[in-house]
Amino acid sequence: MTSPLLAQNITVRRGTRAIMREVNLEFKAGEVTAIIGANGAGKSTLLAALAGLRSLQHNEGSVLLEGKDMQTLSKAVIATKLAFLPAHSSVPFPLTVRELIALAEPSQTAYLEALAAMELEPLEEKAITQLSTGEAKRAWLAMTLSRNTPILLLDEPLAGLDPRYQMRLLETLQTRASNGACIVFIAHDIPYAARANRVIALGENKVMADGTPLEVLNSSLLRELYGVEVWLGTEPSTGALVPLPTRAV
Amino acid sequence: MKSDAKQTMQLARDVTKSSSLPWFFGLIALLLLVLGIALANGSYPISLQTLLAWVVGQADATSAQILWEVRAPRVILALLVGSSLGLTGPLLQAGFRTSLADSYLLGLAGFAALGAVLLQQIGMAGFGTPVLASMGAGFAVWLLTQLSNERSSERRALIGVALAAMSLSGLSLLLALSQSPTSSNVLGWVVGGFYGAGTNQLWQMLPFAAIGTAIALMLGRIANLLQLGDDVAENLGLNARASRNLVLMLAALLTGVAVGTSGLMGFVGLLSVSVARGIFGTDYKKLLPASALIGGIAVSLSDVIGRTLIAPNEIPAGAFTTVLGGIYLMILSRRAS
Repeated sequence: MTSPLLAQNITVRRGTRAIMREVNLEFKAGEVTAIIGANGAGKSTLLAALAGLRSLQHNEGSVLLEGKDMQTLSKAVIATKLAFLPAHSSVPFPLTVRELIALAEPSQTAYLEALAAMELEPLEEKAITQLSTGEAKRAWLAMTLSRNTPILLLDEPLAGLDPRYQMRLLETLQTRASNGACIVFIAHDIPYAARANRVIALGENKVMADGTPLEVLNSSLLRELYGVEVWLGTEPSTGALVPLPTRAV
Repeated sequence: MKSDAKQTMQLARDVTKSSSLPWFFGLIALLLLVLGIALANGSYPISLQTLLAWVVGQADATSAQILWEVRAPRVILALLVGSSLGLTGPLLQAGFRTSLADSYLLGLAGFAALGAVLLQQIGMAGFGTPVLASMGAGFAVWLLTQLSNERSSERRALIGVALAAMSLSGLSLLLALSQSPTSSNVLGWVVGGFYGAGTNQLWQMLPFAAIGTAIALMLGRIANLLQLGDDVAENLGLNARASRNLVLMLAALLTGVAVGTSGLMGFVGLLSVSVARGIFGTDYKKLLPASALIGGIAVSLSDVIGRTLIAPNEIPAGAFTTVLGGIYLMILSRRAS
């Protein structure tokens, strides 16, 4: 079966500088992947490249979307398959939450579902510019979710959300994945990265580790990655891994 | 479900559609009223009856001649200049993602005038003033995009103010050095108006104004997506860079067409889009036509007041728009603080 998203031997550049070379990553349907790494490791740049938003130079690999080279696909086609949300989004004018989501042209059902997932009903007619950081983030997430694309790439979607909405979002993403979606998100909070099916750790200009949370989120890797000591616990009811940073080293 | 997929946020659309139409009809009615007043008023007053008779081809010869040869061309020119400038407001706001965007404020209008005069001096007069002015405005857009970046609207506004000042100084210098250096030449450019405007200017600007307006009115969705930022807009299917270039070049064309016809009229774009936002909200599909209508009303009204208030002398329409725009900017800055 063709993977929804496949990076083949790509070089990830920030401006003209190559920060990672020969990156090979396959993302599957039904999988939630968390990308972790220290500041400046190239997480956002990699995600934008996977979204087809950074042109790949000749002989620097390709990103395949459902088996087709993304650079040969029109933006309109990509838009139906892949939704991307950058870490920081803003609008210069006071669009309401409803108007923002409407720009993605969702169906009525998708609009209402996205609104409910982020619990935005009371804020539907409020201007984005008047919302708190977390509320505005929820609006942007709702816009992205309302597109119902088979692939979701989210850059730090949990940043700025309070714990309730962080859990709401993670639950929504898990539900979408169980319905066949391919989800990739960047996480700074290691405990939330542990809730993904797969974790990719970036560091030293390469993919340092790629596997299940149990395989990747170990003390030595996290010490190497972030320069922190990490306590690894287990959530009693589900047995889920709970890594907690304890101190910088 | 098929019916649901087709009902793209039907509820949201119904709400916005029903509340906008009465306002659009109101603006159109106001525009027709202003045009009627403009046609009827002047050194030879024309009654409403005569005006209506003229519309159906039944007016007396004198009135018909005045209307066809003198008044109608001027009134239509004021309307086209106003609607063109009105459109530059939302186009520049969309292209630069900032509310502080106006062809006068950012130096496009000044460079349009400078470009027209300079290129005429070097023998390109055959292209026509609107075209030369558009080239000048296009150069200003290029300078702005090179000297500023998307993240700093304040910096872009400062650069725009500098460009505006430089262009007006350059214009004064050029005209002073020209073969017919009269103060009225400079004044005619710097404070725009329609004194002596006729069918020649109308035929020169009409094709460009019509094409520019038609294209601009189709850019509502593009302008809406541009305000989301390049990455999100691209991911929603837009070629953000090409779209932004189109939007800004169109603003330059419409600025050039207007300035090349009437000279500088300050802040029409900013005023038009600000009023339009107050009525219609943030959707560019409504802001574009609304700004065109409001700009047309504003300039037409400024012209008719200017030529009747102290008749037989005239106050250029640009004097009113610049003063009103200046007052509006002061109110805006007070609200921001």
